[in-house]
Amino acid sequence: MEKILLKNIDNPNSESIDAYVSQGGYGTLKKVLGGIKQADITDTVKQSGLRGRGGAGFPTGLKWSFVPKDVPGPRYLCCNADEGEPGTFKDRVIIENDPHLLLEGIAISCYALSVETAYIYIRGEFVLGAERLAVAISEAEARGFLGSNILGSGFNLKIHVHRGAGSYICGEETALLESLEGKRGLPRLKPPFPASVGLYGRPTVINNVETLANIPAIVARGAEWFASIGTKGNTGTKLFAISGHVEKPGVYELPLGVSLRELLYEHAGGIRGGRKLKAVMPGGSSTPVITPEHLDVALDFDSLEAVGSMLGSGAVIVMDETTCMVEVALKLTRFYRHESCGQCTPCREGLGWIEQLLQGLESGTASSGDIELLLDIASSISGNTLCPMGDAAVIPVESTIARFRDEYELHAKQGGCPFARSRARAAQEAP
Amino acid sequence: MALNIKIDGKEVVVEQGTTILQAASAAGVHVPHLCYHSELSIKGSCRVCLVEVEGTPKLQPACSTTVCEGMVVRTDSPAVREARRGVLELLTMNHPLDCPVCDKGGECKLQDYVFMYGRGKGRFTFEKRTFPKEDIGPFVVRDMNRCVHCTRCVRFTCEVSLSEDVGVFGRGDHTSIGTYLGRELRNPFSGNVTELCPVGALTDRVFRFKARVWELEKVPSVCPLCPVGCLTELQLDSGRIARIRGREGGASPWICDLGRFGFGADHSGQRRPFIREEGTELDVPWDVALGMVTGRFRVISKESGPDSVGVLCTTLATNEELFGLQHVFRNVLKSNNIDFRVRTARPASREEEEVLSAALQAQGRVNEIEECDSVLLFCCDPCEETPLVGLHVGRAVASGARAISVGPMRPTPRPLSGDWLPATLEQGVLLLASLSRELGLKAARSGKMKSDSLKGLEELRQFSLERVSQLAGAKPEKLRSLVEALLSSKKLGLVVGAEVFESPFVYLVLSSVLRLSAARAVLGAGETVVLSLLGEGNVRGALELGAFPASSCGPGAGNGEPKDIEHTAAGKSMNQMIEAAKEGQLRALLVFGTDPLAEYGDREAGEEALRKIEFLAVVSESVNATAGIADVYLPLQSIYEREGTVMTLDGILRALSPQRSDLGKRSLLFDVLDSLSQTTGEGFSLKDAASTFREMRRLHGWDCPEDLEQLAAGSGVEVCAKVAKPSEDWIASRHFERDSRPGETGLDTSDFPFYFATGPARVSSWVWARPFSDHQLVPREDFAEISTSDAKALGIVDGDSVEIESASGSVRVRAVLSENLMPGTVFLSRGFREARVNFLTGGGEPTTKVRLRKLDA
Repeated sequence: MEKILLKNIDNPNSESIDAYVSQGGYGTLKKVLGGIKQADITDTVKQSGLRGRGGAGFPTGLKWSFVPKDVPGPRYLCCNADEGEPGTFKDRVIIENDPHLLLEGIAISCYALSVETAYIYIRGEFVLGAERLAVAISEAEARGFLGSNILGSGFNLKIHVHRGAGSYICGEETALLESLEGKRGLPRLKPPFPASVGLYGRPTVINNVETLANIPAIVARGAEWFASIGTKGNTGTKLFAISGHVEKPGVYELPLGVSLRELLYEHAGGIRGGRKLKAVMPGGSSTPVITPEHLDVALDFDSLEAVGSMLGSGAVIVMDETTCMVEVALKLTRFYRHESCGQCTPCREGLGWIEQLLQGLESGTASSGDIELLLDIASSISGNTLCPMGDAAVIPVESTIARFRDEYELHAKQGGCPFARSRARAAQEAP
Repeated sequence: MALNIKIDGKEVVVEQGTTILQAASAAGVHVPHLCYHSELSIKGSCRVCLVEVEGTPKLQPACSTTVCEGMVVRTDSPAVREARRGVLELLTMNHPLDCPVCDKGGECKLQDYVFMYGRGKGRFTFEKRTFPKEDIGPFVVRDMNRCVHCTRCVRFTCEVSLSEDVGVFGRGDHTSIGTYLGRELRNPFSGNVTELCPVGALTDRVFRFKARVWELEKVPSVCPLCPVGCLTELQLDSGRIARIRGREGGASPWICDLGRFGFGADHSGQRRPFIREEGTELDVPWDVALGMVTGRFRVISKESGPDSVGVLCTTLATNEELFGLQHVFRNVLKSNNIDFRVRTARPASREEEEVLSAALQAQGRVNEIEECDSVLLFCCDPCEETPLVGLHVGRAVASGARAISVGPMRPTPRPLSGDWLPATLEQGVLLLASLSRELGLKAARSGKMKSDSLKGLEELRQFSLERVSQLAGAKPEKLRSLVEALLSSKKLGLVVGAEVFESPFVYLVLSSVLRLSAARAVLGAGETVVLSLLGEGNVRGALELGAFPASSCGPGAGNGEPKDIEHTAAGKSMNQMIEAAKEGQLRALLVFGTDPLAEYGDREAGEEALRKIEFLAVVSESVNATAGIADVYLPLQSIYEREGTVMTLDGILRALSPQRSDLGKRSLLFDVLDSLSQTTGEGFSLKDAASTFREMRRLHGWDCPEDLEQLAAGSGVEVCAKVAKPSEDWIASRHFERDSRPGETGLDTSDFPFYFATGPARVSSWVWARPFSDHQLVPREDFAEISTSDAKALGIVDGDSVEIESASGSVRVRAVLSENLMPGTVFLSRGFREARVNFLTGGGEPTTKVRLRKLDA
């Protein structure tokens, strides 16, 4: 399969502008500034069927079209490089190894949207990534691909790198905007949506790194070409970040619609140590867990939704038979509880309760009604929160109970985690 | 645009932009909510108000969702009830079961909602999260364990008081509300957060553990402590005030800490009459003391005529007391020697009186300030002096209004000072006169005026921009840009500080204000909202009812009917009375509620005169300094115990509801007035507040309820005459203006290099606490303020003892450094116990100069 996003990363010094340009980089930007109409770019992106790669899968061209055209004044583009979803490490690969691909994607998008100031909000932990982006931006500015009057076209663009400070919720688009504005990273009420009221109250588009990295190829080679890859309604390639109990964890670029079986056994080398597959979270910790019966599901937005899960960010977390699903739910709930912004009641209070109940199941202090109680609390949270994190946070516990109810019952009946290893660790980690 | 929606089957029509919660409220449907408050920005985070909207899969928060045409809302469906029950359970999960010991019990939203919508029994069995105990300020007790994170308190201090005292720290379930490093929750409005907090996380320290809220009788009243006259609700425990809260119906539902916590214990203080015999105070029965007052006044006025007696009164009094006093003195004792201005009053000419009268008629409404696009604060710090005025200025500023301030102190909090021109009072007067002259000249030259004012204005050369810029130390370009700012504002707010009314240049200031307003009208610039802060307490009432020696001062003075007023001769003003006392001509003086010994500008002369007065009688709440030398002292109930009415500074009549007193609710002053009336054998026909009020109402033609209780229950009635726009006559120059020469009093600067500035007692210094208040929540120490730069040059640090000395006297006091004070100035506010302003001010100069030295430890 022809690589689009990971095309350059194996080249020596792939992050440098020389390496990028020598492979034809910034050629599409030149073409665009040479006379392609803004509306045509947006149309191409729309027709390509590109869907947001950050997790929501929202059609990118459609999102772009929400920006009002007749409102005077500045508009902004924010590249969401927060990559906070547990299990996800695919944006990092582009940022560290092919930053110019991202910059070119941003530049073309900004041209289409009449944006003159763009921000890359990158998670604080990506030290190397932030450094490489900063270097890349100055390289691009030096060569005239960014800055004022780019390539003599009259188009100006300044890209700023803004580092986060350790908050998962700042990957949520409105919390990202709050953080960028210098305030506490708390999600905003929607409506209004960022396309009309975004950064500093101005129309703003927020796109994921991988989404923007697709733009140069789509504009260069056309919507039809892009739509020929993948499946209907789920076009293009996807960076799958596969981790967990596999022989060859890593980032694999494959067409959308590839089967889980293929990804797992042909590319990632199968389950480590030849063990048996138990469960998979196909798109990061916020996606419902699926089981070996779903091995042949197509990894794309629509197919995964049809089996009751989600593609999300394409972060495939693989768990084998040695995994305790209750422990999985506990660990992930702990993460969400820690990351909760604290604004709204259900998420702020409820996750702590869920965590303590799961801890009780693990350490043997739970009672039999706790499983129903867990589901009840989860339903008080799901759908009732200010931002989607509440819904995401209860997916680990809800989906593991749904698919592995017996395991939970066993925990309750046997007074603790049947997995000896888990029990010891749970005793150590008990609050 | 009107929209048709359905809420729980009810058809409702609302304006576009209305939220579901607002629409439901209008339709009488109650939707529970915690974080929403009509005066604060929408947060939408508590999730208690989730409701069902047909066609939308997820429940929507009613407080933040705007309605659309044809929307069908259900606030009581099974899904809503389940969600509410879930959210409430999650709220009570970590909430301590403190109800038996929590003051909020009985008025707690969480309690109410859990009872109405929640589970009978919570299922959380783990340990609740707790926070360490921490004091955040003197008046508000914080119990973070009880907090439900609605952030109302944070939004209040950010959006309303603009003080940003509290903020949110941490995240997730260890989110806590607290104060920033080294700071405390201390602003003139801090008590409001205890009303806002839906649970017992922020409670009132003064009220703490005093009573259960359901035991309290709630009585509508008005705050008597400052001229704003906010609507209050007294909550009485066995008839005595347990706490005071704000009340809806006025400009805003908030009250300041002064009004909330200043009611004091009112049990201490001398309540027994005494007479002074050979320097010793002798307790005597009421009748004996009263008889002495009556006897001496009768004899003296018979021997030396009505001009030999006089009365000084406080403005911390009801309209009925003030009216009654001036009625008895004028009509029964035939003396016009009555004044409430005990500090520096000088006789006013007829022309000056007209200016004051016109300025009162031009007075806007406190809440109109909010709508202004520019606000000029003249010699005042409203948040500290008349806090609710400051709040409304803050709202204007928060909506984008331009703030300009002139005065020795920068107004607080910072957003209110905007463009600050540091100036002493006298310099400020010059600046204002100059700015108004410029606008007047523009109007006169515009060809749009019917009368010709040009020559008169041109002749006021002492107020030319060039000259004033020299005298006041402001660049001419700055003044010109200010003229532009004043002209270009479409709705200008002009707030004139109370301190101005202590100055001999008050009439010049008022005529400048009138000219400014009239000129703007002529030039088509727009409306001007004038707010003169006037003084203290019921000062508007004192002005409307004639408690001062003007030759004509409103109906009610003289024999009763308005037409009798014109021929009343002017009486003696305060300083004339002091003069007359010194000469031995003023032989008997009644002092009602005020303390001239401690207040009169020239303390030496004042004391000499007061000691010389043959018969000095004091009727007041406590034994003040003047009572300490008086021949007779008669006790008076506190202002919170006397029934009657007051007038707000914007001319609204409101009624007090008194708390129970051993001395009854009928002001003891009426006994005094009745007794004095009998000197002529007539007796006082106005027996009490109710009958006096009826008489005032008849004389003035007030269109308001006749019954005081009914008046108290409402939000007040606007009774004072108002003129929407001053006539263009006010652009012309006044005679007294030509003779006004501020800034030319030839002050010796060598020995006394600092200007002395003063102003009303500031709320945050706590000096305003009732003298017999049992609150010791804030250390009540006298202090003076010095600018940081001056202090540095003199080697003075914060907290040092300093001596401030003028040509008249000196004061030793603790120094506090301030960034908000004009360098070259020393500021000592009024109201301190020991460090009295009149030790420094002298006999009549508009500006006092002082020197400063650090005292050795």
